[in-house]
Amino acid sequence: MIGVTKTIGLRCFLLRPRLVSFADGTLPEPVQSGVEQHLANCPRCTEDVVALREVPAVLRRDVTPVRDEAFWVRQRESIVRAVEASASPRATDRPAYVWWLAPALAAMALLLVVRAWNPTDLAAPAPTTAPALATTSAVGGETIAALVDEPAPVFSEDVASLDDATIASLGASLDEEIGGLSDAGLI
Amino acid sequence: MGTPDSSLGRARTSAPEGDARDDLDLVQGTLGGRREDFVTLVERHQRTLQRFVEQQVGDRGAADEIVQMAFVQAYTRLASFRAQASFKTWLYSVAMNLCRDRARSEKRRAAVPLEDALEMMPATQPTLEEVVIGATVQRRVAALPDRQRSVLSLRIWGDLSFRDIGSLLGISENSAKVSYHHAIRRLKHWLVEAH
Repeated sequence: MIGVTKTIGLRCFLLRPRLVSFADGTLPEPVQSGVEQHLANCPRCTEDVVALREVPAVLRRDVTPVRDEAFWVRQRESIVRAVEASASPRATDRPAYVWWLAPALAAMALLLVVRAWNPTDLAAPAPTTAPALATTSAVGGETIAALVDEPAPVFSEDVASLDDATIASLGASLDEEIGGLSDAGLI
Repeated sequence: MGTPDSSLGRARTSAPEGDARDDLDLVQGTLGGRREDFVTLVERHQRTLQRFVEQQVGDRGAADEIVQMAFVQAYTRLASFRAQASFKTWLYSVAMNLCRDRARSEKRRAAVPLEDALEMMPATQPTLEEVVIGATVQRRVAALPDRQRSVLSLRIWGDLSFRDIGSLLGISENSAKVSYHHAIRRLKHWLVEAH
């Protein structure tokens, strides 16, 4: 579509969150070395790391507007005036759930009524095809398919034929090779 | 505690410089009646929040309004802040909701026309090339899918950690990083294409 959906190795796919931390310089040493070894043999990921370092710098330089100090003072004054005109924090405090609770309860009641009227209508149809990547990766234990906002990756390997256990074991071997992929305690 | 009004008057032009208290202390101070503590919070976060909101809505005037509304809402709802996330993350969630409300009401995505970009430029005159590049970047950021744009903006202009971004958007830290990675790849592609 836009030139960013080239084929990608599963290893590179799983490493993407690490590349972000690597570019930021926030990976702990053992993992850092593992990623460096991968980069030595992977031009695609190396290119990504360069982009992860260069593009943010371009964005900050070109888009960040310059405001003088007088603007910030005026803005604070304006906020203070609005705050003075408003009630104190405690006086207006209400639990955050209140605004959506009523429509949620109404929807639930409607659902129950519809279901009681014809329960078979609401039975979920059995999936006819398995999702392309409805599997759990070893990366932080999250579901790859949950990354709905991203373009579907096109793997250089035949990933579609791999089952969950194989993917998990690939993740685990990569985990071993790189020195720990779990986010917990690393970043 | 002091009298709120007199201390507020002093804080109108400048919040206490180098206030070492963390945000949570300032929140508690505000809830205890010290509005000047809230002014310190405003001073601490207004710059990054302004940049973030400008990126979200692509309109400087609208951003000014949203930032002000975000702080006022944060103030009036401060007692509902549970400190499960940082004050900054919570403030950004308030601002993001306001940005979404505006987007819904306007039914349009902020694609920044060149003339708007010209208006948004600082008083120090940029070159025409800088203006065009700036407008291009803004258009490109605005054209990203919602989640990628939000993650990118929160990271680049909000300076939030991926953990905070994840908790704000209701996704995992890894998902936030992957979205960021995609956004950067797309922008790199577009920026290279533009030259």
